[in-house]
Amino acid sequence: MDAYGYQRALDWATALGAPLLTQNGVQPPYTPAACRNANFNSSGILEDLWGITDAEGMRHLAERMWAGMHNPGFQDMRVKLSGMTLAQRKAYVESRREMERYAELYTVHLYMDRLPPAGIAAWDLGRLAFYLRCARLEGYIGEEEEEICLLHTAVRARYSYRSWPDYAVAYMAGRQFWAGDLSEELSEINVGILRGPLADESTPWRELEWEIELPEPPSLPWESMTGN
Amino acid sequence: MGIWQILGIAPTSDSRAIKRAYAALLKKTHPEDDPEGFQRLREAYGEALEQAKTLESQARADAHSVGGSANDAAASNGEHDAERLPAWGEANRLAQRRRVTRTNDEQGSPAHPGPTDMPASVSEQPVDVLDPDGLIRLFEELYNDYAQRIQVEKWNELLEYEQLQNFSFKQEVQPKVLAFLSEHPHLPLPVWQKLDQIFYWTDDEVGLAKLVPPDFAAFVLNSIRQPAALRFEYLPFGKDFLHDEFLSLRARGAALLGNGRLREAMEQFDTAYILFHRDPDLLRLRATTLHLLGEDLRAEEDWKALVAAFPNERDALLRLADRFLETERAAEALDLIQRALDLLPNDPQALLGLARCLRELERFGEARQVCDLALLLEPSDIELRIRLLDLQAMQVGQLLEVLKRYPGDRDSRFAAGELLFELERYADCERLLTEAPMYGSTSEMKTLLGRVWIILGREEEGARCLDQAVDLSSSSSQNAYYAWLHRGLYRTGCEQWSAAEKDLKTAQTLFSGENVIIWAALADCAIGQHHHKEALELISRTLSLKPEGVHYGKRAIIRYRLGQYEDALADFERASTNRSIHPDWLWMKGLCELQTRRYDEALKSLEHARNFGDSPIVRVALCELYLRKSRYAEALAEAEKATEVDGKLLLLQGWAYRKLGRSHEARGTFMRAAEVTPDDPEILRFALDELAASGEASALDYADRILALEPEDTETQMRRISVLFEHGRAAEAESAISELLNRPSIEPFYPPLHYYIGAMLVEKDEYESAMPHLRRAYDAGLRGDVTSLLSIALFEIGLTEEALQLARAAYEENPSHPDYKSRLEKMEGRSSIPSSLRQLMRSPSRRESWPFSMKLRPIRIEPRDVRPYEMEGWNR
Repeated sequence: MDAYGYQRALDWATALGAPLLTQNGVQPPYTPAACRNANFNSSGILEDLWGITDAEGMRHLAERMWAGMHNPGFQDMRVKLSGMTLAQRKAYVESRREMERYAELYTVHLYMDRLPPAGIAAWDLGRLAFYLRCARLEGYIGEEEEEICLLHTAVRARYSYRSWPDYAVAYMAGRQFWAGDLSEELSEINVGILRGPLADESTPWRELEWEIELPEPPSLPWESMTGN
Repeated sequence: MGIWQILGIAPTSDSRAIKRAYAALLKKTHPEDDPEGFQRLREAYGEALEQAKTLESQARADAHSVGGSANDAAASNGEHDAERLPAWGEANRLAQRRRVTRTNDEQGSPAHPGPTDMPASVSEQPVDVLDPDGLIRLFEELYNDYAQRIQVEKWNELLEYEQLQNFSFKQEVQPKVLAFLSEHPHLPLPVWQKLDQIFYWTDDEVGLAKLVPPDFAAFVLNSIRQPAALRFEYLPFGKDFLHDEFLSLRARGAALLGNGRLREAMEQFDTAYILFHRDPDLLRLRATTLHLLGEDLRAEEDWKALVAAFPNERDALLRLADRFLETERAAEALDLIQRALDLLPNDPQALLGLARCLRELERFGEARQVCDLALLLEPSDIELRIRLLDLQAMQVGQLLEVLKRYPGDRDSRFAAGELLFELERYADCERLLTEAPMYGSTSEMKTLLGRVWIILGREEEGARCLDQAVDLSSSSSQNAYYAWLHRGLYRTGCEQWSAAEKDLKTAQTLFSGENVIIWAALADCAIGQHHHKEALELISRTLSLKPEGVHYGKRAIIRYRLGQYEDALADFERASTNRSIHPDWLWMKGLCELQTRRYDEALKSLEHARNFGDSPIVRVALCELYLRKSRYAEALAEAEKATEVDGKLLLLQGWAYRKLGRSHEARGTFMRAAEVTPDDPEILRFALDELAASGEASALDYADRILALEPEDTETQMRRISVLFEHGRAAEAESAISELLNRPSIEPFYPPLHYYIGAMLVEKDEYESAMPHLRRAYDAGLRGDVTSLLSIALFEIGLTEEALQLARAAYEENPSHPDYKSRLEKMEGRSSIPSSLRQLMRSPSRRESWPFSMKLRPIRIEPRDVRPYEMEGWNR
């Protein structure tokens, strides 16, 4: 792959983190410089949310998110519900209204038929793309490691969904699942986050086609370190 | 003769072969002609079926193959490990057979006694008197005939058998029924539920667990509660079909699917499919599994087969439509979606599919309308919003293309501008609306430009633009609704309530039909103007059309302000159905809970609300709640955080100090409260009480202020009198007492007041009048001066003995008091003179001179123990 194609692939991978980048005031294209200009608290985000203060922590988070953080919970509920007809499922979910985790169950019920087998992996992968950028801004990982991790993330996303809107649906379904919030208000907030990436005139989501060619991701740096 | 000889076949595990042999022999052996032969045949048939199962199990075990019985059905509930096969069914059956054999050996009776040996259908059975085994045999017969097995009414008929109402019979038959179910688990859900109604298994899970192994108990409970019951009626009824084998495979596959073991589930479904490929549930389950495995091409085949054979299977229609949409066959998808909508109109899932079809077919306007409708039905659906966004972006592109060719097309310009506005591309929207001034502006375009400018921070220009839009619409025949509405909404946002209301009402007259946006905004105006009843009506109308959380929240606020706390709480509950309650409403919810005496909930809500910011009203309420819970230190800490000065909060703070025994600080705080709220008699009383209790002259000022506001306040007057006496202002005190005595009654009963009245009357030598007052004070527990003065009154009216007794008591209580001593001595010196003579001796010139001084021992009245938050006017 030539340098232009490689750069496009990297831009594509970075754009997976568009929702969180947008929420933190980063304007497209989502270059490291644009991220610095947005002046968000990347170290605080990593440390407060994940306790990450170094490369090791970031790598561990990447492994966890590739394996799936919230998605396994979603998929677990999904297969449990999948034996039911729509009518049975609706009645069953309704019968759990007063139970704990009802909102999660309802979210699964709402989206399970529309999402591809990957479920809400987009929610894990999209966040990871953003956290990788945070880690790079903080100097926990270098440019090369960020790129490798982004490409690993990109490959997972690229073959799990069919388009940016499909990816966006899965990402936000994941966000609703995580928040346990079925309100119209949150739904409006969520779509507000996506408005820029999806509908602005020039954003990576509109300029980079989903079916982009991705290079074979190089092996992960820490794997080769372990191998040595 | 052995059973196989009787049946005329070789030993076999094939129950169909046994049934066929039995049926053939039945034609030759009639019970009336040959009762013994018939009996032998029945026994042989039953035993052969039993043995066939054993043989079959052994064969299965040997071949490590899958299938059959409760193990498979247990798996169908999705909560069991499908590979764990509870062996209880078979073990129980073998044990039962051993028991029966032993019984037969012992008693020489047939293996399956009972009057049910008729091979006819169950409905023809004589069921007047049955023993448990007979009932089980009827169960077996019903089960073994698949056409009858799936008829729920047949089971109901059997289970309504009178003896099943009998407790001891039920106790006896229950283990046998459970054993039967372990062998015959594939029953329709209503049959399981009917059995539960009889044996109460779900009500008594412990009892059930005592009867059967835990796995099987769980299976029974899950069979009764199963949310994903599969259908039985689509299987062939013929006796040649291996019903239970098919049902086992299907159930096992469903269980594996529920456990996420998709490949294994597929194996089961594929095997079942070989047995029978037209079962809708099997097709649905297999297609679902294939989809989850990413094998959509194969899934499509199953969905297609399902739609072809069962055109009313809505699930199949929708899933196949999804598949068509994903593979760019929107027209075909549209047909399926429309069929699904015919089956269930306004189904949001189907509407979403419809919108996606229309989008693919480039019918953007219709697609947006459908999305809007679906969003009304399923407001939390993020996909609808994302698709809508996508549609809007596409439509903008289309309109901008139109404008390149026809820049004077003002309708397209406005439509594109509105879409850009909705997409929050405000700068683009502004450019679009201002780039072609030569074509002029419509009122709608001006309105939109005004809105954009306001959002872009050019508020003054924006407001002016909105005014121009209204003027333009009024002076032309253009649609004025849009201009009036948006100016009204803008003014609502600026809290220009009256002007906004006028605009919105004008917009309302220009709009045909019901308008939720206008009603909600008018409700805001009414709230802003404190017209709460009107606001309630408006917001209720809004809710009737759009039952959204935000509107319920708004109605809750109105109801809170109207004092309708229970209703407000119900609305808060509705508002938070789908999410945690809005922080701005949380404190109001807490106050409603406080008002309705739900203190624990109120505390929770208000402590939560405090996390979202500092608020005096929350602080007062929290302070009150801590006091109610006797958490005085927390109440004090809460009050001490205040930066604002609030009379109510100071009162609570003072009360917390008092309860913590810090009376000096309590007094200071109550006085500060009185300073802050000089016109509230209830707050002034707390300061008065503290000051009067320590006999301070400044109490008189507070008393006068209270009495000026509430002249009939006896208790305050009483404290005033006590302070007046203490400070030697006897004349004023007496005047106050005289005023009190002129009242028809002096209620409530305050002992100190009676003491003062009595004392004053004693001083005037009006002993008879003084005595009842002093007696009341004494009876109420007051001592000291009360005892001593009462003794004087009694002495003077001739009750010498009691008088002496009391005088002595007063002296003994306080021997150092000079008056008490001299009074006693005087009485003792004169007590020898008969009282009647003493009366005669009395004249003004010879009046007794009793040592008398009120100032020496004033009565100080303790502060009232009235909790501030229990005061009548607390919640005003």
